[in-house]
Amino acid sequence: MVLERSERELVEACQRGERDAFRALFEAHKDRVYSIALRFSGDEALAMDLAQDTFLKLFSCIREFRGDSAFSTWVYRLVVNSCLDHKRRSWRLIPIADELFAVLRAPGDSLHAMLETEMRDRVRAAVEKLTPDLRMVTVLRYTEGLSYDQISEVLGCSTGTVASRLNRAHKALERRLAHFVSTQGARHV
Amino acid sequence: MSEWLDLQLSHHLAAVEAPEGLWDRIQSADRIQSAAGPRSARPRVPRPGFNSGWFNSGWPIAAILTLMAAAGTLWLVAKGEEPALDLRRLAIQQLRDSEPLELHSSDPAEISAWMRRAGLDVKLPSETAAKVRLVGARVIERRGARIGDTQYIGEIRYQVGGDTATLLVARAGSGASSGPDGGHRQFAWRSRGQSYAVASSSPERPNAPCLLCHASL
Repeated sequence: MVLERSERELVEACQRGERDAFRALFEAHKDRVYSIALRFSGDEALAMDLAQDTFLKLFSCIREFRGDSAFSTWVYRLVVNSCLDHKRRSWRLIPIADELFAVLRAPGDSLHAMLETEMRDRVRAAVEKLTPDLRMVTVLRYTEGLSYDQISEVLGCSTGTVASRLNRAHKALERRLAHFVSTQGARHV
Repeated sequence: MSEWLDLQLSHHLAAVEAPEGLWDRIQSADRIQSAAGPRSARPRVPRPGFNSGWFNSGWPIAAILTLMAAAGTLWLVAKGEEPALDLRRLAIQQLRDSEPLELHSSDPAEISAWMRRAGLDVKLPSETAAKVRLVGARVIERRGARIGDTQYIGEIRYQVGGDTATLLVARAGSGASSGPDGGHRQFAWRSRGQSYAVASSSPERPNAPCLLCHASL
């Protein structure tokens, strides 16, 4: 059994339908779920939808959790499935408007902040252009800091596949961010 | 990979705190009080847009579809074309003693492509009802009475809420008959040279098999 006793008890309480246990379990995993949803989707409103969807699934299916793997792994699988199941958006007007307003709001002397914002947006835009498989591996690695073995357990694929996907993601990102690597690489903005 | 990229990804993809309003959203969407109540051992949490009132309103449609399926079956029998009754029995058997899937995927296109390798042309709907989730697929090998007489049956498995549903597909022509099985919801039909059967493990949701193909019941 992989579970910590306290979390195991919490899960068992949820399986019995105890309301407080649901809230406690939510508090324990909300940041993890939301972070993955946000970094994968790149959109706060969509991340809220995905996180909500994940917790609804978690609450409705928790009796199916048998403790064969860590509970966190099970939660990761739920949020990964929610993200991958979600249809990719065709249009992203709101984020573009957000970026415009952010530039307009930026104080004139905050050059460093603007560069930071620019870099952040470029990196995240490059990540969003990755295919869902590559993007998910990248998010699990850098947002959650999971090892290759942990990612392979969550995604249900081999460690070699994880390594291969990460390698392809890195190459694609380096290609898309090549300009910044050459001009700002030494600055670590 | 460059150290620069590693640093950028770690920095700009860092974890964040969930917004304060998330729990409230989940509660309002789910009405968790009733889901976590003692009357139900299994917390059943409808998704937004799939609340109980809406669900109940889908019952007449499900009943009509059931009648249509029954009428279609009778018509086929009257024409001398036996529907895939053996598939229906097999579908229920798969629900009871499910074997591990060979392909885990929620992508209809991927499953269709995988099924084509077994000679089965399965066109899965790209959109299903909100509660329905495609889980994966496998191919069942059934040996016939004669040597070399082997039939391949594709099984596509779904999750419908907390229950399992299965869709079986086979090339038409083998149909051994069997009677319906109580306790499970199932349909069988034949189309374009292939036999189909769907079954659901949920006796509480009579329209669960319909949800596999119809997004808006």
